[in-house]
Amino acid sequence: MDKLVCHTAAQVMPMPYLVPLSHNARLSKVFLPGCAAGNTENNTSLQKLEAYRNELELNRQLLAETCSIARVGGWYCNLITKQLTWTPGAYAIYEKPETYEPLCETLPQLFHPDCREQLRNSIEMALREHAGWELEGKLLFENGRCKWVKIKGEPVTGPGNTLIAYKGFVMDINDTMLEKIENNRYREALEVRDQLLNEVGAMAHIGGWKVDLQTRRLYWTREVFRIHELADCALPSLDEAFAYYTPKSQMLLRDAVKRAQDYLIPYDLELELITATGKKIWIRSIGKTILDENGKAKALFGTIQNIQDHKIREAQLQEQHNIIKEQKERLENFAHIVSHNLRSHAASFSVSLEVLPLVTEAEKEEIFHNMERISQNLHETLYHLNEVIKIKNDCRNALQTLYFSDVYEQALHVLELQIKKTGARISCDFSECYRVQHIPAYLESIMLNLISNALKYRHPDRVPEIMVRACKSGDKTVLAISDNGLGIDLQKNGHKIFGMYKTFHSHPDAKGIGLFITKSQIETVGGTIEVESKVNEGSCFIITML
Amino acid sequence: MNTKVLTFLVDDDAAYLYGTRKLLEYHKLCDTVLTFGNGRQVADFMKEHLYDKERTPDYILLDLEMPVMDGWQFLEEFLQMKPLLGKEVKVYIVSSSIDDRDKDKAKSISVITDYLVKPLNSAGLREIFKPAEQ
Repeated sequence: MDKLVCHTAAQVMPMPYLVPLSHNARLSKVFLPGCAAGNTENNTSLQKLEAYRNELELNRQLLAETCSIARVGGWYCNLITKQLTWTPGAYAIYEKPETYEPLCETLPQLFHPDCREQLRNSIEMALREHAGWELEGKLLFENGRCKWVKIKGEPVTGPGNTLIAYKGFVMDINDTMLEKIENNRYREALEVRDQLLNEVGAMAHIGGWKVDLQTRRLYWTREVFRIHELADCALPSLDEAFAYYTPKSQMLLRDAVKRAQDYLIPYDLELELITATGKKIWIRSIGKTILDENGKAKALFGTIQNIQDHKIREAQLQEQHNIIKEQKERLENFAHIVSHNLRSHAASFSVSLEVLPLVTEAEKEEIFHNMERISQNLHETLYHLNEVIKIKNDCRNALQTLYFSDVYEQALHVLELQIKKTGARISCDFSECYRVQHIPAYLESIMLNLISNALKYRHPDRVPEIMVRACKSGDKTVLAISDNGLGIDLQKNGHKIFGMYKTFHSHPDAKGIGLFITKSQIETVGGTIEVESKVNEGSCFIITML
Repeated sequence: MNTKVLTFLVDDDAAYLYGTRKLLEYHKLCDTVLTFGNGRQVADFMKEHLYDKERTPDYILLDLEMPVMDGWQFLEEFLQMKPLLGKEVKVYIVSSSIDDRDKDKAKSISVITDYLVKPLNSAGLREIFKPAEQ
């Protein structure tokens, strides 16, 4: 150090103009006499020396303070004398009293066993290669406490480029190191958690989101991007995010978000989302409000889950449920026919037979006549039973393209006699829609039954007028058969019009099975039937087909 | 027997009505039998002769499944008429339905004396009219 300071001063001397102005006064004493020769030389040298010493002391103090603040110490290891010298800063770091004598050999002992090997290796390698070395290691104190330090050594070469010493510093990096370790641990935990969140999210198709109500900024987890089929770089704006939903879902969501924001009501909705690639999927969106310290809504957060698979399964389940329900209904109807109608005929037979021996000849004649009628009815019931059984659940593969005009003509042909008898005027209009996918036997039966009903329940005071029309409603086909007949009181009988054995007119031909079978045939192919009617004005049966 | 016993048979099956009427007449289980084809017919008749005891039945044997107005619908109208009738009317359901739902429903209606399953033979009919005979 001394050498360095002297050297610097010597260099500065011929260039006084480089010295800061504030020092001029003091330095002028030093330099000006230097320009003049004479007996004052000794005196000025002493003064000079004094000044240097002061300066040196000042610097030393400054250095010691700086070292203490920076928690740095210096060291010097003479390779020839094997003498290791520490500055006070180093003593402070190693926490050794000033009486302690540092030794190169025992230095590794001051370190934690985990670091000793590394320290020795670094030093040995540096010695071999005449290179510098650097190490971060843990000091171990007697009470088991550890302290992280960084040591750096630089080779010092003597004449002839021989390695004579190493010098360097030791630095207390315990705080930063511990912080770093803590940070690393924290980051690792965070990374694990983030990864876990993403993977779990991907597995369950659940993503998280948050929206800051003040800035209206939106945050998404990776899975939310995946659900939207978006690259997870550009976060959309709130309005852009809303735009991914179908109009109806968007309305629901906006409403729910508003309520969450204004009234802090959480929501849980199933919505339809259109992804970036145009796929329509079902998602479940859950949202909750985060409050600020004043209890006001600060942000919203929640989850978005892709429930498309779930929805598909639900739909399949529903379909299966419907099939089972239909089958159950058919079974019940079957049981009903067996239980009620077959039994009813059997009961009549039985009563007739019982009374037979008790009555007069003329009455016997009547009873035989009755039994004949029962027998006929029995046949008819058996036929209906057969019709009900024939309606199968899954006969959609039996669908064919049918032309309404063909089916219509055929029905008229079958009903020729009744049409002539009643003088009915029947017309059709298939110009808007002339064909449909249906099962031939069913559509024929539906057409025949409805026209036949219109004829059967004609109004006695007027000529029957029947109109058969087909049209398109969206992607569905609608067949409407209207008449000017008796009409049905829907208020009273609407709920059972398509039920089995329900008749609303005391008409001799009324059997109450036709509309039931017609309805079954329509529903089997996924259609629906409705009726509009006014008593004494007429009825209109509307069939909607897939 | 001071008053004549009047029985209404309500059923849409003509053969059944005929046979049952003959049985009732033969066994002399009641004095007069009137037959009706559905609930509407019998309800209309009863409304018309609401205060006429002579034409108010002692027994109604009622079928359930009938066109125009079924047995259940008739019972609704009957319940409204009941307080105005001059005498006690015993209502029996005589149906071929063995469906428990029908039976349970019948049990829940207080005015129904019993639910009987067709066919009713002579013995069955006698059971119904037993108290009247005594």
